[in-house]
Amino acid sequence: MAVDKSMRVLAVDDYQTMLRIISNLLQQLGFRNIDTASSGDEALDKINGNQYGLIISDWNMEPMTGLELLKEVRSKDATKAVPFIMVTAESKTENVVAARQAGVSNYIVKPFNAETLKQKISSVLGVF
Amino acid sequence: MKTKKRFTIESNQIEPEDTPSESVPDAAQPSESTASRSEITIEKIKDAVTAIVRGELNNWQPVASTSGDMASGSSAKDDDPAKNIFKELSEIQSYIETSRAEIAALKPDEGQDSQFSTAKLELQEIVDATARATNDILSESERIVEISNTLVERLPDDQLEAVGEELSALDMASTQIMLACGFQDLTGQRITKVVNTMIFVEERINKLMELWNVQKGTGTGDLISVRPDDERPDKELLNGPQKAGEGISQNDIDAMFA
Repeated sequence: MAVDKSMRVLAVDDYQTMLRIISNLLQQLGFRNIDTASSGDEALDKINGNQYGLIISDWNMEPMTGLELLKEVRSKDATKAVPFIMVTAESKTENVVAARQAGVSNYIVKPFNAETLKQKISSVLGVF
Repeated sequence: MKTKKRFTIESNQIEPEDTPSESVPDAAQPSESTASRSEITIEKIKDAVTAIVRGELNNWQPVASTSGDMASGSSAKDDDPAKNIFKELSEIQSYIETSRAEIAALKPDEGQDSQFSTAKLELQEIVDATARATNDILSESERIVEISNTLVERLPDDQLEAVGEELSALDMASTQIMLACGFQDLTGQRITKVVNTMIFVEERINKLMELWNVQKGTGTGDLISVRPDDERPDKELLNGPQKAGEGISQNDIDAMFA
């Protein structure tokens, strides 16, 4: 299955720098509809008002963390199947285990490179 | 009748006050005068320790109030447990007074910020400065990509073919620069951890000050720019970057040279 690059993608991170990096990389990969949110709450608002084909989120944010956001997404029928990739500096085993238990689609540890992001997106959406 | 316990040094036992130790026949018991001099109630010891910890006893002569010849310590008998206890208490008092003075140096003097507050602001400055620099780098990197894309759109096919590899390399380099800017996120998170640890330590020190009744602080908000063992002759002039609004501007410096 080929990646539908017209899908709406949401990038969530409380660091503007990282938001810009991820947005730029997504653009380079061909995605045209990219939204950003700088907190879990802002992300939830956008998720409730839009239909996203992919969510890429940081974990360590305040007040709502990426894990809480993931659980919210997975708890609703309308969004429970949306691919959700965690991009985070949290690299302990228990973090990955907790994210997997919460239903994360894939997991990227910062710092990462463009190829890693492409691979992980491909693993949840299909080939580019 | 309320039974008050007391500590009899000679026997190392806590006895009810209405059971005088002198009533126990024992050949090893000291003379009556020595015994009465050395009997200390637990409450007295507790009071003394509390007073020492709270800093409410200055230059305490612990033994003077109990026994005339015990204050100096020079004539104290090493085998007298009462004297040893007071000697230990005196040493504890000395240590605590030293510690109190050290901690007072952390408590800000009136009108001063604490060093912790200043240090936290400095760390925030680092986060802000790296964020600004990173955003500038990202903007220029994005501009390179835009120029590259413009060239792809405008160049005739034959010319595009000639420089195609170079343009691809330019795009890849821009991507690498962008990704390298991710350091700002990671350093920001690490600095946040340091700030949180400082808050933790500060809270504990504040509790210690409260417990040890440190009233007057002698600390300043100045951060320490050089190591205590720094021997450079101009170390007093080495203060590092100044906070926004502090120091003088390049214009002011230029004016000084005009």
